[in-house]
Parts: sequence; C-alpha cells; structure tokens
Amino acid sequence: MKLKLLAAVFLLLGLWTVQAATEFRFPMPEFESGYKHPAMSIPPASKTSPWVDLGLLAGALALSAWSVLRLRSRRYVFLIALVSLAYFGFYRKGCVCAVGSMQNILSAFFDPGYAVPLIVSAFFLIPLLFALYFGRVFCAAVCPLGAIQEMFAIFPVQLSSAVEAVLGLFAYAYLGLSVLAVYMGAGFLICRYDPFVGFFRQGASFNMFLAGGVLLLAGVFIARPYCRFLCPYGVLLRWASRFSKWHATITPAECIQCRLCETSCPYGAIVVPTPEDRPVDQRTGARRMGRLFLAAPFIIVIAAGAGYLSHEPLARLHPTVWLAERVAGEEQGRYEEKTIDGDAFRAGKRAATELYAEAHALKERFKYASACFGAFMGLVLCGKLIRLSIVRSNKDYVVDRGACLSCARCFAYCPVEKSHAAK
Amino acid sequence: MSENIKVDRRDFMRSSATAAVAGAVWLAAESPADMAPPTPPTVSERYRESGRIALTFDKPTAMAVGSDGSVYAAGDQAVVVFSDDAKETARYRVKGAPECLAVLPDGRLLLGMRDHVEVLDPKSASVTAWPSLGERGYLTSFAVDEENVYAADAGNRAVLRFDHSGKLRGRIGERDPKGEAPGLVVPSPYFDVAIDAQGALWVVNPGRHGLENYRPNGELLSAWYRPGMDLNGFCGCCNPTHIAFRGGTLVTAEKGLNRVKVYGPDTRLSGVVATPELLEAAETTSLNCAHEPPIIGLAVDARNRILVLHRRWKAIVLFEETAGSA
Amino acid sequence: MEQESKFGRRDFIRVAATAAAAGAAWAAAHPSSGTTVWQLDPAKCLQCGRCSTTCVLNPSAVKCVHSFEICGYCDLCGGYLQPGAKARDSGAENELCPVGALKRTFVEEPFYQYTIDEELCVGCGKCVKGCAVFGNGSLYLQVKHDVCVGCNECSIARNCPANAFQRVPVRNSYLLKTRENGGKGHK
Repeated sequence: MKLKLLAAVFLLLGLWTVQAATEFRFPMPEFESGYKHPAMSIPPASKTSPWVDLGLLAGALALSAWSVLRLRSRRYVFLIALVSLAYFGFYRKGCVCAVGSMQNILSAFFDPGYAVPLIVSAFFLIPLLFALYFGRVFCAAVCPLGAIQEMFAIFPVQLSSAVEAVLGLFAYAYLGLSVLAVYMGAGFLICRYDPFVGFFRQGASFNMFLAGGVLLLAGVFIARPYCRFLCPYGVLLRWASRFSKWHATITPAECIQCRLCETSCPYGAIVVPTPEDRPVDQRTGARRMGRLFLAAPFIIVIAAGAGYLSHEPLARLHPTVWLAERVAGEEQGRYEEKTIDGDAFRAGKRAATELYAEAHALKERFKYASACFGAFMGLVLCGKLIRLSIVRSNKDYVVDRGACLSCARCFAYCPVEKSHAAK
Repeated sequence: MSENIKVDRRDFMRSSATAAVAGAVWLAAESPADMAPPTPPTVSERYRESGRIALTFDKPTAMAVGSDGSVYAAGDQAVVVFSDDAKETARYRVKGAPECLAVLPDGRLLLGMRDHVEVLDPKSASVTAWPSLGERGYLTSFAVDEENVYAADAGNRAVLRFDHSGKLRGRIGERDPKGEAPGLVVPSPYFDVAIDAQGALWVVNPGRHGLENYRPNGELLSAWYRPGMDLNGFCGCCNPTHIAFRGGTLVTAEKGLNRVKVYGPDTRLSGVVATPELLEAAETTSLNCAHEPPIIGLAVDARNRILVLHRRWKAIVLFEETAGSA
Repeated sequence: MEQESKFGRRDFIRVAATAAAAGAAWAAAHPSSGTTVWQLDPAKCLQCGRCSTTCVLNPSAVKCVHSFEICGYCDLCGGYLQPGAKARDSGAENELCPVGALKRTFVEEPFYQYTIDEELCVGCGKCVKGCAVFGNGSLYLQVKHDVCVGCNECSIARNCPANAFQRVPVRNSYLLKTRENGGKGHK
C-alpha cells in the first residue's frame, strides 16, 4: 500500500514538474476587432465504462458455459462467438483483452510500481476461473481472436498427433518469450504481434496484416492455428481446463463406440479408445518413462545452455540494447544511414558511454533470463515426452480436456445425442 | 495619305515606349523568379571567431557592453562583469534572472526583470526598482543614449522612453487607434532596440521582418523590411531577434535559421558573421534538435568586436573582422 | 470409496489453482489506480514524424492541436508556409501541411488565425516543427482520445525516439501548453 501511494505521488510530481518546467506568459496580441479565439478541441476519452466490459465478459462466459454444458448447442456457441467478435473485437478494437492482460499482471509482479487497474486483473482471472470449472469456454466463444478464426474454419482437416504435439510447443515458447520480455522490460510481445487486431482496427503494418491473413487462410483448413500453436494465454487455459470440475463431453450419456465422432474434431482433442491388442504394453511405457526421467536433467541443462547462447539476439528485444547497438554501429560507420533514434540520442544530454553501460548491464541480465527461458523450454519438452510415453487405457471416446476448445462440433456427430434429446 | 504615314518624334517615342514596356512584361512573364538562378549576395566582409568568454551560469539570459569596453553578462541570480580581455572583474547578486541588460553612462546597470526595470548601482551594490509596466509588460531589450533609456516592451508591443531616473516620457511604435500607424507587430518575446552611430533609434519590427527608425518623440522616420528565406532576408515569425550597430553597419541575429549577418549602411547584406553550422544549431537532421534558439544576445564592443551570447554553449563568442577583407 | 472421490486430487489442484490465480490477480491489481490513457509530452517531442506512421490507426490518433493563447497570429507563419514560399496564401505550393489540414483565416491587420481540420490531420508534425523553430510553439501534437483505441502497449510509444509518450490519468488526459502552465517560451 505504501509503495502504491509512493508511486502515485511520484507520478503526480512527475506530471507537475513537466507542466511547470517552462514558463510562457507572453501576452496575446490585443485585437481591436474584439476577436476571441476559438476553444481548443480536446475531446475526452469517452470510453465505455470498464464495468460494461467486465459484465459482458462474465455474461458471455456464463452463456458460453451454459450453451456447451447444458444446452449442448453449437449454434448458440457460434452466436455468442459472433457477438463477442463484434463487441470485443470490432467495437472495442481488441483492447481490453484477456490474452494480453497476462503481461500487465506479470509487469506488476516484476515492477511493484506498475499500476494494474482492477479491471485488467479481472480480465486475466475470470476466464481462468471459468476454465477451472467449465473448461475452455472462453476460447469457445468469448475470445475475439478465437472467434475470428472460428469463422474461417470452413474445411478443417485433422493433423497427425505428432505434428500437433510439435506445433503445440510453439505456444510454450511464445509464452516463455513473452514472460522474458516483460521481465526484462522489453515490452509486450503478445500485443505487438497480435495478428488479428489489425483487422479489428482496420489498420496495421503490412507485415501484421500479412501474418493475420496467412493465419486466417491457413485456418480454413487447419482450424484456429493461433489458438492451438501460438496463444500464450491458451497455455494457461489448457492447464486450467485439465483440472476442470465440469467439462464438455462428446456424448451426453453412454458412449456406444460408434466411431462417428472420430473425424469430427478439428483440434485433435478426441482421445480414441485404446485398442484391446495394443502393441505397447504398460511395462515398455514404464521403462521408457524411467529413461526419460533420467535424461530430463540433461535435456533441461542443454536447453538452458542453448538459451544462454542465444542471449545476444534475445537482448535485442530490449529497446535500450537495440539503441545502444545502433548508436555504436553508427559511430563506427557500420550503417549507411543514420536513424532518427540515433540522432535523437545524440541530440539528448546523455553520454554514449552511459547508454552502453546500461545496455551492457541489461545484456548480463539477459544471459541469466535467457538461460531460464531455455530451461523452461527444456522442461516443457520433457513434460511433453513424458506425457506421450504414458500409456493410458480408456474404453470410450473422451475429450482431451487440455486441447478441447469446447467448440461443440462433436455433439452433433453422436447418435446418442439425438436419442437423448428425443427423450 | 502621306500625312497619315508620317511618323513624328512623339509617335516614335510613344511606340518605342510601348514596345519597351511590352518587352519588359514579356521578359518578366517568361522568366519567373524561381527559374532564374538565385544571385548569390556579394559578401565582402569576412569574420572569424577570436575568442570566447565562458560563463558560469546554468542559464545565461542577457549581455551588454559598457563604453569602457567591459562586458556584462546576466544569468540566474547574478550579473558578472568582465574586462575587455575577458577577466572577471566583479559579480553582483540579483534577485531572479534579468532578461535584458544595459549600462547607463554613469555606470549604473539597468536590469530588465520581465515587467519592470531594476537599477543596480555598482558602487553601493544597491538595487532600486522602477514602476511595473503592468500585467502585459515583457521587457526584452534596452537602448541608452545621453538623455533617454529606450526599453523594448514586447508584451505591450511598444518601446518605452524613460529618462535616466526612470520617468516615463513617451511610448514609441504603438498602434494608432485610428489605424494611421500600423504599429509594431511582436508575436513573441523577441524584440530589440538599438541606437546607431548617428544616435538614431532603430526598432526591430519582428512581425514585418525589418527595422524601423523613430524620432525620440515617436515619429516614424523610415523603415526597411526584408521578409524572405534567402540569405538576404529574415524569415519565420520574429526575425531579426537581435540587432547591434558597428560603426555604419548593422549586425543582426536570427532564430529558426540561426545566424548572424551584417548589413551595410545601404541596407545591403555585406557579410555573414556566423552560420547555423558554426553555431552548432543547423537543422542537419530530420529532427528538431535546435528547439531553443541559441543566440540570446548580440552586442558590439568598444574594440568593434561582435559579441554573441550563445545559450547552449553558455559563453559569449567574440567575432572579429579578418584583415584583408575587401 | 464414495467419500474419497468427493474430494480427490483433481479437486485439490483445482481449488489450489483457483486460489493461486485469484491471489495473483489481486496482488497485481492496484485497486486505487484509475484508468490511464496514452499521451505525449510536447516538451519532449522531436517532430520525427513517426506518430503518423507507427500508430495502429490510419490516420493516426495523434493530431496537431493549437494553443491559440500562445500563438503570435503571424502573417508569415513558419508552421503554415513552406520555407521559401512565394506567396502567403493558401496555394498548395505554399502550404507546409501535406494534407491541407491547417487553415488560415484573416482576423485583422496584421493577424491571422490558424486552425486545424482534424478530419484531415495525420499527425506528421511538419507544422509543429515549423512553428517550434520559427514561432512560439503554439502548434504541437497530442493524442486525441476520441480516436485513440488505447492499446495496452502504444505502438507509437515504442517507436518514439524521444520517449515522449507516457500514461496519464484519464481525468487529465491532455498535456496542453497554456500561457500559465507550460507553453514553451524560448526566452
């Protein structure tokens, strides 16, 4: 509390000094015609009340959970997704957003002076809580990024589980990088590389439009590529959903193993029953896992080393390091043209040596942080391998709670659903 | 018939004059100004930096020269006196930062403190204040002769004539309510006055980019304006910002295009003392790094040196005409 | 058996995760911190032109504003006219503004009023630079909050070479130059 107060006081002081720094009391000309100057146009930030956003978020999540778990209706889920896309996407222009809010929460932990409004915290927390109790109903219909991709998933094809597993690692890497960037003060990567926000705002750099367009077009066949293979918040939701209290099920009653739903899921979230005569027995699996546990420390150390070695390029994410390298390069004549950034720095009061020293200190910190990032990726890799080597036996067609986006596609494939509804 | 054909002297002169005018019009139309290569102004004088007086102020604000050759500089809370060989000889503490400075013939110092004049007596180091010029008062410059103190009040858009004791005796350059005198146009706090070698008062009209010559009673005698972006002219909203007389020639300082130039008695450009590059205030990049105009004072001392007060360098830069200039 | 399955391992993890997530969100939140918006400090601005090119919106949410009370109402306006303009009129070849957003109207001899057409302004800062160098600096850039979408990380802020962008409280969302508080007088 004291810290927060102090931060607020400093913020106010800072603003005050900016205002009082210069003095200009030079009087206006005296107009004989009685001219009065027009008022300045300074429109206020007439934003929708944050409570409206919050109410709509909670409402949409509740409706989504209700549609998935009770109504078992894809139509309703799709409708909610449309409304969310219109409001959170096109009307609110993609900001405020649960996916990005994660960075604000992290910022507050790394920098106690960073102010996170309650609303942003709520946007981070509520979808996670819903995932813990109802599965990824946020992804199903509330997230505008998910919704826009859902609209494009027209001819979804199923990927092999191996491809799915490998591509899934990218989401962890993106999560790790975003945390690294926030920790080092290098900015919000998730916001910067949000591929769809350009469509919501009808304005973005060409590259971002290109990335968004490619993802949407790929999404025609490989449904929701961003959600599955990139979304860092999706990683958290995936883990929350694994432990969800209630979750969407393929069939409302008993599975009759008709195999009709097998091809229904574009996200590879349907776990097929273990064949009776499976080639790998439990003991082979256990032995494989034992070996993996032995290898895990080595994998993690090697990954940490790889992370350490890549600290140079990673450090360039930080604007100060980038500027220092640029200024140094311009000093040594390594670049044809000078940049505005370099010119602005040289015009300022700071000495280049001071900038270099700061960049150097940041790079030192990046060594450690990059190694941690590498270790995290090693851990993720080991976890993935271990999960793959666990031999489960299940009799029925069930959902993989982590991967399932609660899109409600599979319901319509189940013959039990129809007879159940008829009753 | 033959009478009609006959062309007499008057007819000949009339037709040739018509042809000459038509030709001139045609020539003028044919060669628009931007087609003709700009004629470089003939610069006959050369100057070089001959020294600097470093100031210890954090923010120097004003400068003046005394008739004995001493140099005065003002900044935050102090006025410093230098001998003509740049040795500090005295330092006076004052309240605030004088924004303009002048020396009376008896050695007393005039300090322009925004809306009023303060007089510093170096002998007793005592300060007396003249009455305030009102809420709009904004003093930017002084000029002093044997009888009068002319104070340029940029806020009131007028030059105020005082006697040496501080009694207001007249206002010069104010706009005539009947619209007969256009008045001084002063859009910003850059407004200078100076007295030439003949003792005539010259006032900068920064809104019209030129100088006006007044009688002490406020009668406008003559004026010359030269708006323009070229070397010859003054551009922007308030140039020249400072003037000083050096014998028969006029020295001017500008902002925006930060430079110091010299004009001859015929108001023709005769030399460039300092270029923007030399003052390290050129717009060389795409950035506006030279936000604050570097030149905040201009004077000519008894040894005919040109003194430029440079804000960022915190120094008085001395320029001398190089020998051998034509 | 029934008793055990009532509160199993998964339930424990779920409750723990709920508590952890709620705790994290609560600890991170500044309940007192109100909404903030992005704004640029005109005293730091270098008029590099990136406001018009790096905003996620096109045209940019940054526009030129005009503090009339520190304007000199000049005829030869450094913010309005091209350097070396042949005439002081609204001819496109004389205007500095690339989109003609700065309008000039005659007030009385010798004063002219300059206003900004916000529909046209792209926030390039060309006039700001002209006004800062030659004039009083009464033209300057501000984030217009009726246009700004309020990104979590402002794209212009990240690209600003002068670090002129900051978050300000929504109640006080403009950093204006006025005669009283902070117009940048050069004297």
